This record gives sequence, C-alpha cells and structure tokens, in this order.
Amino acid sequence: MTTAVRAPIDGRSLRAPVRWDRAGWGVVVGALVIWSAARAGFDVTAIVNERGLGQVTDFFSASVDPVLTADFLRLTAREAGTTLGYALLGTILSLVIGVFGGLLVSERLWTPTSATAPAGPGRWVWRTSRLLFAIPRSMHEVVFGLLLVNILGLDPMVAVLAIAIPFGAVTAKVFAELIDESPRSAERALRAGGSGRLIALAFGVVPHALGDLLSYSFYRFECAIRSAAVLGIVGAGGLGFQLALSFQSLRYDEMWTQLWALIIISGLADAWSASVRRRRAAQIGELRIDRDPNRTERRDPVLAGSFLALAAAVPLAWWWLELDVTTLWSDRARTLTAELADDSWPPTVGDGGWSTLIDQSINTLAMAVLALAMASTLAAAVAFVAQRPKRRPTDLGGLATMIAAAATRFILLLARAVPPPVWALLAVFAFRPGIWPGAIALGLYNLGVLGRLQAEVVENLDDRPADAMQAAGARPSGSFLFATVPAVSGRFVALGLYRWEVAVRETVMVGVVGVAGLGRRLSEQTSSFDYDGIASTLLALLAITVLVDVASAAIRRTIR
Amino acid sequence: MTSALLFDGVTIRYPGSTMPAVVGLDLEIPRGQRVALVGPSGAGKSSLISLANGLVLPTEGTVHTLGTDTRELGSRRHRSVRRMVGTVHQDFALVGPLRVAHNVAAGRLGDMGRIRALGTLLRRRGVPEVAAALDRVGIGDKVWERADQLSGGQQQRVAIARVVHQQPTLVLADEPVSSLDPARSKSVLDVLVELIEADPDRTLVASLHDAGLALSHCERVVGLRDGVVQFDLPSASVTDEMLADLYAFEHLDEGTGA
Repeated sequence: MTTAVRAPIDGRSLRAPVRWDRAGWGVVVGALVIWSAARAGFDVTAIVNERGLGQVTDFFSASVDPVLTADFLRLTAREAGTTLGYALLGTILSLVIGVFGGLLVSERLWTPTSATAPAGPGRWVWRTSRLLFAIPRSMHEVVFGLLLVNILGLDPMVAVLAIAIPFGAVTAKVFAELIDESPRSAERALRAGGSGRLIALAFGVVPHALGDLLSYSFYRFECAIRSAAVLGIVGAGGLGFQLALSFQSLRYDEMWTQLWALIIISGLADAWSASVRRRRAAQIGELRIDRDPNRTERRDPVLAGSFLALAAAVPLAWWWLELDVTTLWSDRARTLTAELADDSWPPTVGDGGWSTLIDQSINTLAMAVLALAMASTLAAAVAFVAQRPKRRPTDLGGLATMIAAAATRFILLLARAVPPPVWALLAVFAFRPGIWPGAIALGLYNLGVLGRLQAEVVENLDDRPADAMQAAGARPSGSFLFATVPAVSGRFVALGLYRWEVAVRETVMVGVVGVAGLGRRLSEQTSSFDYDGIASTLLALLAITVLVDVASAAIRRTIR
Repeated sequence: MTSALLFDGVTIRYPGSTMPAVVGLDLEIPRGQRVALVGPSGAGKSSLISLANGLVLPTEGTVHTLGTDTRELGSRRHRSVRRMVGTVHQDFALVGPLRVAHNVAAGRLGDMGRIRALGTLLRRRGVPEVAAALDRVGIGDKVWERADQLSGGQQQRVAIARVVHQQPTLVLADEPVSSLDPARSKSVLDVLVELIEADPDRTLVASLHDAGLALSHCERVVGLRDGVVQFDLPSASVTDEMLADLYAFEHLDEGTGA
C-alpha cells in the first residue's frame, strides 16, 4: 500500500472550489434586501413620525399598569377561553383534515409495490389532490377569516374553520412526507402477505408516522393560539377582538391586561409544545432539518397524557363556544357562498388597474423581504443568548448567563405573543405609512418565532465536536467558530427561508390595519364586498407565494 | 519530568449504570512510550481514554495528564496543557457540515487567537500542512469535501489527520482504525507511530481491538477487563494464551451478567 505516504502537495491547487450556486443566491438575496429597503425608503426623517413616538412610549409604559378590576379580569378570562377554544378546535379539525389529506396526497398510497412513483389511474387522483391542498396552504388564516366572515357572519365557526383549513393543508403535507419517508419494509411485508395497499399502509406505516404527527400537532396548536388572537382582530371574537376594541379607544391599560393574558397563554402553550416535542423526535415539517436516528421512540406517559388532555378539552371548547355546525349549511350561508363564487369569477383587476395591483404586489414582496432580513439577523444573534443553560449555574457568571437567557426568551415571547396587527398599529404611530411599518411589525413577530426555533436548534446541538476541540486546547471562541457556527448555520438559513415563505402570507395580517401591500387591498375589498376584485388580489398573492416558495426551495437545495 | 499519564485509584461510575466502568485503576505511563489498551467491549478502554483527556472526570481517585490533575485541566489556565493532548475519538467528533480542510485545521485551534481562527475559517486558499496531513492518511483528494459526505473509514482518517496536524505530546486514540480494512489499518497506525517517533517525549495510548496491531505497533500492552487491569506487560512478553484468556467468552458472561 502506498496510499499512506505520498509526496505532499506536488503542485496541486489547494484552493477551495467556489460554490457558484451559493454565491449567486447570496448576491440575489443581498440585492433583494437592498432593493426592498430602497423601495421602502432610506430617508429617516421621511420614515419616522416624531409626533407618534409619544403614543408608543405611552403604550409600553402601560404594560406595568394593566386594568386589574375584577370585572375586567372576568371579561378577559372569558375572552381568553374563547381564543383558546378556537385554537384547540381549529387544531383538532386540522389534524383530522391532515390525516386523511395526508394519506390522499402521499406518494405511497398511489404507488404500486412494483413501482417507485404513483402509477395507474390513481396518479391523477394523487395529482389533483396535491393541487387542491396546495392552494389553501398558500393562504393565510386571515384570508379565510375575511372570506368566511362574509359568508357565515360573526360566528365562532369562522375562526375554527379559518384555522383548520390552512393548517389542515399544511398538516396533510407534513403527514404525507412522514408517510413517504418511513421505511417501506414493514409495508412490503404486509403486502407480500396478501393485504391490500390501504391496509398495508394503515398497519405498516401510519402507526409510526402518526406518533410524529401528533407531536407536531402540538407545535401547530401553539401557532393556532397566535392565529386565533389575530382572527379575533378581524372580527371573530375572543381576546383579539377585545384588543381591537381597546385599541380603538386608546385604552392601553386595558390592552395590557389582554396582552398579558396572551403572553401567559402563549408562554404556557410554547413550553408544553416544546416539552412534548423534546420527548418525541419531532423535528418534522418546517421544523425539520434532520432527524436524530439514535433517538428511541417509546411510549411515554407525559406524551399520552398530553394528547388525552387535548382530546378531553374538545367537548369543553365546543360547549364554551356554543358551536353550531348547522350554520354551515344554513340557507343564508348557501346563498352567500353561491353569490361569492358567482361574483368572484371571472376576476377583474379591480380599482386602479394592473399598475396598482402590480405595485401593491411588489410592496408586499418588499415588506416580507425586509421583515425577514431584520428578523433573521437579530434572531441568529439572540438564539445563542436565549438557549437554556445545560447545567445548573455554579458561579455568579453562570447565574448572569441564566438570567440573560430568561430575559431574552421573555422578549422573544413578547414579540410573538403580541399579535402582528397590534405591532403594525403601533408601527403606524411611529412611522409614516408605507412599507416600513408593516415590515417592522412582521419583523418583530418573526423575530419572536424564529428566535425561539433557532434557540431550540442551538439547544439540540451535538456538543461532542466542540468539547473535543476544547479538550485539544481550543479557546471557547475557537470551538464556537469551528464547531458551533457550521453546525447551526445551515439550519438557521433553512428556518429563515421557511419563515420568509410564511411572511409573504402574513403580510395580509398587517394589511388589515391599513399598511401597504396586498393585505390592505384585500381588507378594503372584503369590507366593500368587492368579490371580483378579491379574486384578483388572491391570485396576485398566490403568485408571489409561489414565486417565493420556488426561490426558497432553490436556495435550500444549495445549502444541503 | 512528570509522566504522561498517571492514574491513581481511579474508579468511574456512569449515572444510571450499576457496574463501574473502571475500578480502582492504578496506572503510570511515562513519556515516550507507545501503549496499547486491549480487552473485550465494555472493558473500560474508552473510559480510560476519556479520563485521560479530561472529557470524563473520575468518580474516585485522580488522573494526572502531562502532570496536571484533570479536574483542573478544563480551566482557562491549563489550555496550554490541553493543547498538547490530541485525541482520535471513537465517534471521530468531526463537524459534519464543515469541510475536511477546516476539520483538520481545527487541530491547531490551541495555537490560534480569535482573529487567526476566523481567518483560517474564511480562507479559501488552503493550508499546505493540512493537505500534507491528509496526504499522509491517504485522503489528500478530499480536502474540500464536507466531512459528513465521507464514508466512515474516510472520516476516521480525517480525525487522525487532525491529530497529526495538532502535533500533540500525548496522543490518545480510541479504536483509531476500527473502520478501516486490515492493510489500511496498518498504514494509518504507522502514521501515528511516526508522529510519536518524531520526538522522544511523545506518548501514544491507543485502544485497539486487533491484538496483532497492538503487538506490532506498541511496546507495552495493557489488558483490561471489566474495568480492571488483567496484565500490563512489554509486547514481547504477551502470549497468545493471555490474549485468549482476556477475550474468553465464559468470563464475559460472568462479568456482565447483571
């Protein structure tokens, strides 16, 4: 063997090959951010509204002085119950949609044992259902909220369905991925033993994938609480609705009672969801980056108990919301649905013609880009501070780190528990109308979501390479650069891209309070029943969503 | 001159396990020796390596590595001592998304300040010494691959190249050739022996499950079983019977049957 000893370097180039695809996307993203900022405007005096800053300080100083009278607390608790009920029923319904939808859009169900991809007439069913599920997935809950309010009126069904439909479509996609990625051996064995495809799937694949899906549904529940609050602002009732009322009368002290309630509920739900997901390998769906193959999956009383508790709360929530399913097929709902379908097709360009539509579409894109540029930069820095310490602190320095981590986690919680429309309303005080207030509101909210997800990435990191480097004499800074940064950066970028996709959809949320973009257009059109205009706005939103999803998928491929 | 390694009455119990992994171990390894640790799985070889580099602290007793108590070794003051301890980890401890070149360059992090560390990470030009270390273990063509794209055997050789690049005084190697074929195992062990022989002070402690390699590459063989030293002899005095006895199955059943 001559492989071990060879004349070193013999004139060969040591230079690293350049990753042109990655460099290219880096330039594109950088240019996109600069272009978006230019579109929003760089001139600070033209952006900041000094006279409104007082309102912002007033708002934050009210945080320590919420209304705590017994009556108001009772009202807040009741409305909090409503918001929780929306979130719970919405999540459970989305899980039902997701399980059946997931089977339907999975490749596996339509793939004969002999083939590797869907084949036969079934593949047309497969393709159609994939398309059918892709459309609601690209629409934000608020879009469904705005449309359903027009059909069903102010009915609790609006909020439940507005959450369940898009969440169900997302869950279906996640479940389909879980099914398609699970090993084929068990299913093959059942098929070889003579069982049909559906039975083989049901017994060979679903039990395994379902456990992961249930644990993922806790993450969706935590998202649903935030959505339920926003849907309240749109008019569905609950804490969000009360928030909007208090904001209209500028009662910041009342708002803070409601916001503290939201912060507590979100904090508890987030902690619960995180602990469930820690118990079960649930780096799935958008949380996925990679799975720990060594993680054992076993029955866990906390896991089972958590799910039973969730299931037991369903009838309670149903009773509390006085949910009436029959409104769905009432005469009124049927007439209005028919009217809406009739009016919205064919779509018209709406007021202002093509130029306005295109202009607002571009503003929407710029808003999402700026929001994510701010959120992901800050979140990457904050994630390391926010991580839970692995050991109990033993000295003063350790204690300080622990306190800083807790404080950071609280700020992140605040950023995501306060509904984005509230951030947007505040931003409208502080900044002049345009792209910036929306971008800053969405940026803050996404900082809260992203910072937490990235802190989880840091917490779940394999410490061994860094420990090994330090045991060989590296400084903490050295092992951070060489072990920690490379291990997290790919995941951070992937999460940032995923949030960018979501942020495009979320622009609708800040649009309802009147900042720029397609969201504003949509809320104006729904309040004036301009249905054919709505269709064009939704199509424009769909187009940007698809564009961003495609770009994001392409970038993600280069960081693998 | 202090010894390279000094174990004094060392016992280690891992949380959640009833049997201690190492029991009352006394062992001294002077500088300049090449020592092989042999014994069946679970004998305590890996524990001994982790005790030596300070990643695991003893439950009882003390471990001195290059004259420093490993309880102190983790502190900032003893970084210069840690810098002289190089480990080939059983799980390689590579950074998966990092290029091979940077994984190897990380071996010298002990010599680098913050700025130089950053510069090394960002530099695309490549370090000739890193390439040379990779050449020595036969994977000079993988410099800019991602470490997690390599096969197990290639990753193991990256880990060895990292130690070669580090140029430590004490080399600890935990099953350093477990993922390699017999011919390559021999040549890669040759690389480690060469590293040691470059300086009379350098010491090698390697756990090896191939007794033949242990005898051919090391001058002293320590036979471990159930966390206890069974024999500690010059390679020339180790007989086939001793090895057969060390790995014998009936003992295994007694020892691990909890």
